[in-house]
Order: sequence, then structure tokens, then C-alpha cells
Amino acid sequence: MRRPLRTVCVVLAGILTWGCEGSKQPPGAPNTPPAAVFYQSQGGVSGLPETRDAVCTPPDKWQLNVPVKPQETGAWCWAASTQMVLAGPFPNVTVKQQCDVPSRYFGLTPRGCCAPIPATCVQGGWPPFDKYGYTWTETPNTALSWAEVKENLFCRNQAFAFTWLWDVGGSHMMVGSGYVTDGADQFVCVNNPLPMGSGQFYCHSYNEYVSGTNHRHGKDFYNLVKLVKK
Amino acid sequence: MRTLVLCCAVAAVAARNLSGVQQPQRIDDAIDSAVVYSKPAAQAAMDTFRRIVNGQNYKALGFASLGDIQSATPDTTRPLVAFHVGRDSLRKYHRGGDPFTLLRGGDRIFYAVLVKKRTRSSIILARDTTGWKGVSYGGPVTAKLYWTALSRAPHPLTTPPRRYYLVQVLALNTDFLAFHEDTVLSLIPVLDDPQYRWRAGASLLADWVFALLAVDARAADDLPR
Repeated sequence: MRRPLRTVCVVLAGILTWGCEGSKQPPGAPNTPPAAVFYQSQGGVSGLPETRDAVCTPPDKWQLNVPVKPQETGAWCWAASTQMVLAGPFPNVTVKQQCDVPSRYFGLTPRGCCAPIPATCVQGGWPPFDKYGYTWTETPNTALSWAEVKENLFCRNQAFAFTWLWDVGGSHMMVGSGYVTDGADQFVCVNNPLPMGSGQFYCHSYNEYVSGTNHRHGKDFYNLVKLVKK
Repeated sequence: MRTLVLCCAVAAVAARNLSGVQQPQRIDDAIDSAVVYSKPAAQAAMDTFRRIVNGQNYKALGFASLGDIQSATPDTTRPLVAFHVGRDSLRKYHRGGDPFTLLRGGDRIFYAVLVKKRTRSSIILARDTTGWKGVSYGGPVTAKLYWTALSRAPHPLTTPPRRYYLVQVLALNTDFLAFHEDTVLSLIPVLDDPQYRWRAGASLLADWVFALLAVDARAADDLPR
């Protein structure tokens, strides 16, 4: 039901903005609303485009249907975040067991990090999207611009993983799954794999997403693209 | 003029609290200051929260219906000021140390968001150089954990009433409700320990807890966890 509606919206947006000139915001651009953005389909399993074609103008608010996955150990925020990003509308890959992510990351496949979980698997890490057949773009310890947040969530139809570096040591990864614009105020809505056993959902001000009184920004993982086999 | 005096007072308290090591009296002062000065910002943040909630996110933000947000109110009677424990200082902690020396912060405060007197969600305010402002909205699970722990915690008839606050060990994803009597800091876990060292709701000596967590902190690296 949702896809036909979205398709109609995209077509309408395309008609309404026909002739408008669009450009992709460069990384780190100021938080100005993006002009129309031109996109090419990345192609879906079903043959239908998984991301929006042609001109893409993000609306004021958008929320992807990405269920919150709690981290299953005290050190697996990155594994839960991987699971959530992959579960998004694009690329829509189901990772049935979270332990599959650290198993692949630590090279202990198949299921080497599954129950009983060895202590060597309970460690921090980074999302191994390549192990699931996708390349990605990574920021150098900087946040996505507001334009990039909207572009990624709406135009690419993708959730993204981001990292907060705690000022007092350590770091934590979460998933951006939506955004809300309210006048001049901007909010990034986030699936947090904490607390263990449930996870939960927040909307942070964009400034808080970038940095806060107890954290600064680490790496973001976004723009997944299917690896092409040669 | 009053605004100027207020700003100076806030700035003075902020400078003192952000300067580092916390002691019991300074924690009390930081809590009292945060509670008083963040209250107007909490009301403003509630208005912001109402504008964030929509048909796509109301459930995930803790509300049973879209209409709930209209009657939701911040609970200004029981906010929780958050202090945090640094990983590097925790690594050096040993049994018999002074747990107060590990506490930093006091520049974030959590307000429960109530609907029909029940905790549904929360608002987090942070203090920067311009004062208190709303930064995060939602977190229905921790909201219920924090204020359930607070409801179940002992409330002895003391004057002034016992102050409860949050102690967060961010690097180890571990949160506690905390209180102190004289120079003894106690912690109440809001969740069971995954390593079965404590149960949620138990009153524990911070000295004992920090000595155990110091071992974990020594093993923890900078990678996301």
C-alpha cells in the first residue's frame, strides 16, 4: 500500500519540479534545505527501484519503517546498528540473528559468535556491510549535514549508522531512521540499541546529533550501494 | 537587570559544577540549581516535543495515541540530574577510594513526560553557555526504568528530602539511580547486570560497584559498544 503511494508522490514531485535545477549538497554544507536532488535507481531485488528516481525533494518530516533492535550484549551496539540499517526499506536485508554480524566481523562464521557467546566476540566494532554485499560511505568523525540526513533517509530510502564519542572515553553507535523539521528547528530521530533487551527511540535536535555536552561526533556510515559481482 | 543577575548566577554555578570533581555538597548545589533553572526550559521543551510527535513516530516515542501528546506534561516535581563517570578515571579506581571523585557533569537533566499521571516518555535538557535547553525527546524505556526505580527507592523523612540523581557510566552502558548520605555514595541499578553481579533495584555501595566496573573499564577500548 505504502509503495504505490510513495511512487505517486515521487511522480507528482517530479511533475511539480519539472525544469527545476537540482544539485547534490556537498558534504559539510551548511544546514540549508536541499534543492531538488537528482537520483538514479540502485535497483531492487524485485526489479522495482528501491530508491527514488529523478528529482528528489525531501518533505519536512520523514520516518523510515526500521524496527528498533536491542543490542544483545553490552558491546554490540554496532552489530545491532548493522542489523537495523540493513533492515531498512533499502537494502531490506534481514539478518535473523544479531550474532551473525560479529561472527562475520571477527571471521568466525558460521555462527561462531552465537550462543554460547564466546568472550572474544563481546567487543566493540564497526558495521561490516561489505560482508553482506554492500559498499558504504564513511565520514571522518564528522556528522552528516542536515541536507545529507534528509537525502539519505528520504531520497535514498536508507537508514544510517552514526557514532557518538563520549567525552569521558568510549563510544556508542545508533541509527538515524527519521527526521522532523519544525520551522527553523531540526530533529534527527534515532533507533538506539540501548538499553539491552529493548532498545528505544529518540528524536534529538540536529545540534545534539552533531555534538553535545557529553559527546562529540564520530564516524557515520551511510549511502549503501550493492556490490557488483564481476 | 533581573535577567542579568540570573544569568550571572547560572554562569557562576555552571562554572563551578563543570570544573570537575564533585563532592556531596557540590552535588546537592548542582542538583538544586539545575532543578530551579531548568524548569522553564522543560516547559518550552514540552511544547517542542508536541511539535515533533506525529502519526509516524508517536508509538515509538512512548505514546498510546496521537492525542496523548496534547495532554502530556513534564513532571517538574521529580527531574533527575545526570552525572557521569569517566572511563579513564574509573580504570584507576580501587576499593576504598573516594567514589565522589569519579563524578563529573551535572549539566544534563531528565524530565519524565506524564500522560494521566503515568510516565510515558522523557525530555532531556542540557546546559550550555546560554542556559538550559531541550536536546532529546523520547526514550520511553529508560523513562520507565528511571522513574520506576525512583518510585521504589526508599524515601526517608529527612530535611531536606533525600536527593536522587543519575550516575551514568557511558563507556560501559550502565546507569544507576544514586543518592548520598554524608559522605557515602550509594547506587541503585536500573537494570540487572549482564554479568549477574547485581540486580535492578538493590541499594549498593558505590565504592564496591566502581571497583568492579574498574575491571571492565580497563578492558574496554574506544570502539563503539
